[in-house]
Amino acid sequence: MHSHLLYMVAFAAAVGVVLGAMLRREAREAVRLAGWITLGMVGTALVLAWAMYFVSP
Amino acid sequence: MRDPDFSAHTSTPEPLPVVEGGELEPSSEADSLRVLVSSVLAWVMPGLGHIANGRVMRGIVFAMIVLSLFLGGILLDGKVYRPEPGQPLTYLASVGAAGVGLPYVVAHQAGWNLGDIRSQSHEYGNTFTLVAGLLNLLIVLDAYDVAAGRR
Repeated sequence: MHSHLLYMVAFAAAVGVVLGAMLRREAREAVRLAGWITLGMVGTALVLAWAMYFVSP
Repeated sequence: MRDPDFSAHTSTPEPLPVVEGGELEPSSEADSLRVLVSSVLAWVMPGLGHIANGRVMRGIVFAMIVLSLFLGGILLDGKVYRPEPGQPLTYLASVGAAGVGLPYVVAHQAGWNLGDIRSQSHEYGNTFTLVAGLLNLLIVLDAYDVAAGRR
């Protein structure tokens, strides 16, 4: 069984954790940035997906 | 071992030494050989460059994430790009995927690089393996900065 949403969240979380750990020194700040990046990527993807629904042929 | 990263005590980072012209001054402790070795280690095995520089926790996090992403991509039937004559974009993709270092070589030697284009998750797998390499290239640059004393 393939869950596209799960793949997207896993991908966003992986990118978020790496960028968070790279760009912030403190653990709390790194976790916070990782969370924001993950949420931002997933949220943007969902918004774009719904936007494309309205422009679909 | 104390990990200088992820410390709860340093609220503000120390300012970087700046010389005239805005260029960063290399730390006096920075050894060019150490910088080179750290960068190569970071490329060969994700996270190893940071571990070699004493950033153990950060190195372990990088290793876990990048290797999981790469292995996950293979398990999702993604391909690990290699240069193909007549396909110019595969050269670019190969540079990105090869950024993951030794796992890239192992995947090709073990025959895990082909993927399955019929699989629903093939494109996800391609993205995972490619981005794992690209993330590790960023980590190599970070390891370079750490070894040079800039971070």
